[in-house]
Amino acid sequence: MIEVKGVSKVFSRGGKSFEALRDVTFGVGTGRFTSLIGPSGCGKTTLLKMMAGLIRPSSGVIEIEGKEVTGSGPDRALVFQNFVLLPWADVLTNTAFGLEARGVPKKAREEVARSRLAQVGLTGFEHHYPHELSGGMQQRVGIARALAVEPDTLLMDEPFGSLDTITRHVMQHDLLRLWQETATKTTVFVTHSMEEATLLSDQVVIMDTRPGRVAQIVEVPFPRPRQVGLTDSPAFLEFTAEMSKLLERMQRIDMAIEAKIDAEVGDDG
Amino acid sequence: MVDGIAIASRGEADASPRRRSWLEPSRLVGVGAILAGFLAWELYARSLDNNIFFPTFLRMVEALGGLLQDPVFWEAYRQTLIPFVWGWLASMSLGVVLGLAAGLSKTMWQLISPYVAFFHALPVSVLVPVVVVAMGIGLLARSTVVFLFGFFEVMLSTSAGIAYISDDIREMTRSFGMGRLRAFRRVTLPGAMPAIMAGLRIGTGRAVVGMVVMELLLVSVGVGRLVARYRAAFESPELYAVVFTLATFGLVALMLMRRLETYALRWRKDPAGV
Repeated sequence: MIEVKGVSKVFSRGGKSFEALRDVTFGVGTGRFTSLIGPSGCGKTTLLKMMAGLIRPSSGVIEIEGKEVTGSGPDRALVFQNFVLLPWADVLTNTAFGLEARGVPKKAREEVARSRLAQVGLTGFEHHYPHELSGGMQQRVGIARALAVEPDTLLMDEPFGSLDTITRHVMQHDLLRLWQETATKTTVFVTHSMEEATLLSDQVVIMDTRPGRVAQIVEVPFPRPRQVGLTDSPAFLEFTAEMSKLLERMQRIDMAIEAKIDAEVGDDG
Repeated sequence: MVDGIAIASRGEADASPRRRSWLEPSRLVGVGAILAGFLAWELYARSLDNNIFFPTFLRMVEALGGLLQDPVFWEAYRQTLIPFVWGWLASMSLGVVLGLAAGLSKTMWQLISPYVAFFHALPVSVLVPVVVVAMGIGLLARSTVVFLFGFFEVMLSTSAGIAYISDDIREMTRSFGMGRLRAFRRVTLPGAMPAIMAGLRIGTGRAVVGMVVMELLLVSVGVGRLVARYRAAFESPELYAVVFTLATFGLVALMLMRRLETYALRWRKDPAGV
């Protein structure tokens, strides 16, 4: 269980402060897949990085299985939007990186890395360098690297956000299959896409901006195991359309506020 | 695995050997350009009434042949290269070590940067007389000049290489909880390696310049003495031949550094990049 309790975050730089999150509270059940979705600037990535222990909240706490998060830990692994592979290391070394960080001997960590690479369909690419791979394949390495450390919690920051549409769909379905087949891990997944969130998640946390906060928490009504065909079913389409409308409305209000702020600033000038 | 298949073939294409043969068109054009230059030199020199000051290319080659058999020539190079090697080794090693220190520690950077800014803004040639006054013209002085020419480039490039490791990679390293020592060895050092190698290559070029400047401006030993002697005696074919050997030495030194760079960065798409 991940419990986010009254978390706020104010960034300040050069005398100016920006309220990224205000009093965010929700829970993620153990073994459940939760998506964080919302307009740009709603603080969803900040929140994910707080769970990873890379950013500290200004106030409030995040607890995982009752223990407060104060830094990165072996129970969590992060998958990055832009993959963040080491360009000088081959696929096998990149996949084993998290284990290497923990001092696992070379032979043992490479054995684990090979089996994770097989899981994401990259057998035969162990000795390729990242620049020889497509974006989709690089992110497969990113996922294999996270799975290799056998985390209890998988944190994914818009992992498919920089991929083209077709690759993105393939990756979504492969992740769905992988997640349902393997011992399910508690997963928090940041995304911009309502279809993606609905297909993959048990629970969707919809966030709003200025300041970043939870707008609504929605249970996804589709039972598991889900099949690829789910995305074509009328019930799925209706559900995502409804949710997307809600998101769009929030985005419009946000744009209106922004326009108003711009106008006010303009008046001052 | 749609994207997998598409990329498999690209990966194989990338893995194909990229050795360049001497017969490749781009190489042939370069060789041709040099030959044309030599031909133009020869023809122009022949057209002059008197080529005491401007020998023909073939006369220069002839003089070069003579020099290569002359023990005095090799002794001169030995005298010149010993301080070069010391100064070069010192500038490369201290440049990397202090560059790493400055890149890793803010305090070290604050301590070093005023000196670096001062010396980097100064044409190093100006320091040659200062070094001579302070240390004379012995091995130490000559090594020091070579060192001063090469050092700052290596140091600055190394510390910049560390500074420019992306925040994403730092964050990723932190998220997997890698310890500082291991992170230095496995992330920071390889991440800074392109800049370090570029610094070593450019620093080597500058060290060669330092060696030549020292020899020509002030010191009457080694190759510098040969140059002075041939100039005084108007033996221009020999003078040109000595200059030719210096240029060749610089070229070979840079070529070897580029080889080393390509080897150290063999993971890169285009290892011998900028």
